[in-house]
Amino acid sequence: MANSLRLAIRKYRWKYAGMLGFWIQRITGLALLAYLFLHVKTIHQLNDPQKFQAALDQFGQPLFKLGEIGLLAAVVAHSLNGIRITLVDAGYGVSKQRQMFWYLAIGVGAVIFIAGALPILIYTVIK
Amino acid sequence: MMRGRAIHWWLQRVTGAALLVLLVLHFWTNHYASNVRRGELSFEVVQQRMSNPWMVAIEISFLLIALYHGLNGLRGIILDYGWVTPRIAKSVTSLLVILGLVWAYWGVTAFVGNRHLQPGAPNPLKNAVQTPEAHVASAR
Amino acid sequence: MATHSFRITRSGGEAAAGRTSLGSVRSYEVELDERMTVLDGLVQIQREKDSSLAFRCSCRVGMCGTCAMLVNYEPRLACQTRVAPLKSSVIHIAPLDHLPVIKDLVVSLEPFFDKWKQVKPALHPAKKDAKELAIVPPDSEFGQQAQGKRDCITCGACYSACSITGSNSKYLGPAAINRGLLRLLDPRDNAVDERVEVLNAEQGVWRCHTQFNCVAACPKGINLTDSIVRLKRAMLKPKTAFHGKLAAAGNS
Repeated sequence: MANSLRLAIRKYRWKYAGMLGFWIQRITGLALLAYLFLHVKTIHQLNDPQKFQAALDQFGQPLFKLGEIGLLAAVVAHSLNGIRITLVDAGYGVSKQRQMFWYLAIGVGAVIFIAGALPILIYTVIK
Repeated sequence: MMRGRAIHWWLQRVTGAALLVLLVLHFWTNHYASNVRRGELSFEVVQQRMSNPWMVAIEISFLLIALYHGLNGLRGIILDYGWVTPRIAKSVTSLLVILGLVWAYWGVTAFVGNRHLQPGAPNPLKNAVQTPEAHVASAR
Repeated sequence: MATHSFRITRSGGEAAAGRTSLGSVRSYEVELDERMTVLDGLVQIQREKDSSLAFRCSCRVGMCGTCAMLVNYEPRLACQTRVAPLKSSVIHIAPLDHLPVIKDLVVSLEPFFDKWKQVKPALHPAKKDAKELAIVPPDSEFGQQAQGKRDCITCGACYSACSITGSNSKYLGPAAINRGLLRLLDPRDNAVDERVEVLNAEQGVWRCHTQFNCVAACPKGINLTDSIVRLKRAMLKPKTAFHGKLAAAGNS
C-alpha cells in the first residue's frame, strides 16, 4: 500500500513543477470561467434591487465566505502561475523553471493568499 | 498573415497582465475598501458606486477582457485534443465567439440601460426594513 | 554485485497500434555490478532467462538514441542509466509512451518521424551547386546559437514525455520543433517559408504549454522548451527574423 503510494509519487516526480503548473492553470482557469458565469448572473440582478439584495445577503453567509476564500486561492494560483508562464515565454527563467514555480508561483502565492484570506476569515468570525 | 495564431498567444499574456491590474482594483473597491468590509455591501452601496460612469467603464472593460482571456484559454484546451480536426476547430471557435458575445451582452446590460443606475435614481429598497449598517451607509 | 528485480511491461507479438504500454508485467531477477546499466540487465535477461524479451539497442554509448524506454516511469536511454544511482532494488521498465507498441519494449517511431519529416529536418542550402564547404565557425552567431540545439539523437524521449502528444497524435512534438528552429537559424538554409508554415500551424508550436517534461527527459540536455518558446516569439512578426538571416549572411 505504502509502496504503491511511493511509486505513484515517483512516477511523476521528474515532471512535477512543470506539470503541476500546467494542471493548476487549466483547472483554476476553468473554475474561474465557471465562476465568471455565476458572477455575471448575479450582477445582472442589479436590474432587480430586491433580488440583488437577497443575493448579497446570501453571500454574507459563512459558507459563501468560504467559497470566497476558495475563489481567492484560485485567482492567486492562476495569476502567479500565469506570471511565471509569461516570464518563461518572454525568455526569462527557461533554465530555472522549477525554482520559478516553487518560489514565485507557490511561495509568493501562499503569502498573498494568506494576506487576503485572513481579513475575510477574521471578519466572518467577528460577525 | 504570419501573426494569425501568434496574436492570440500574445493577447492571452497581455490580457492576463491587464486582468491582474483590473482585478486588484475590482477586488479592492468591492471587498476591502473601508465602507464595504464587514458585510456593509448592499444594493444601495452598489447603486451609488455604479451610477458613476467611470466605474461602469472599468467593470465593463474588466468583463470584456476576462471573457476574451477565459474563452481563448478554453479554446486552447479544446484544441489540444487530437480528435479535433481543423473543421471542428473552426466550429468551436465560432461557438465560443457567439458565447462570448451573448455573455458580454448579459453582463453589460447589468449596467447599461439599468434605470436604477440613472443619476438621481432612488433606492427602491429604502422604505423596506434595513440593517443598521446599511442605514449608516445611506445616511453618510 | 547486487540483485535487482526488473519489472518489465511486456506485450504481444502483434502491433498494439496507437496504445501506450498495455500488457502484463513480468519480473526478472538480475545480478548486476554497481557500474552496470539497465541495458546490461536487459541483455542478461535475454541471454540467460528469457530469450523472447524484445528490446532495441545499438551503440550502447548514448549516441544513437535506439534504446529509449521508460525506466521507473521516466523516459531514459537504457544504456546510459546505471542501476546503482536509481537507488531501488525494483526497477520498472516499460516501452515509451504515446507511441504504438510493437512488442515488449519495442515501439514504432513512425509517428515521431512523421512529425520530424514535416519540418524538413535536412539542410536546404541556398547555394546548391557551391564548390566550397559551407563552414560555420563555432564563434559565429549561428555557431553560438546552435550550441545545445544540434545534439538531438531522435530517441523519442521528449515526444514520449510530453503530455500533449498523449492526447493529440498530430502535435509536432519538441524534437521536430527544435530541429525546425535549428534549420531556421542556419544562414545557409533557405527553406524558411515552408518550415514556418508547419511550425506556425495549429499543431505546431502553439500546442506547447511549457510543461518542461521534454527538457527533463532529453538525454542530451537540449533545452527544448526554450527552442519552442523562441519560435513562438519569432512568429509574432509578420516576416520572422529568419527571413532576414539569408540576406544578412549574403546567401539569398
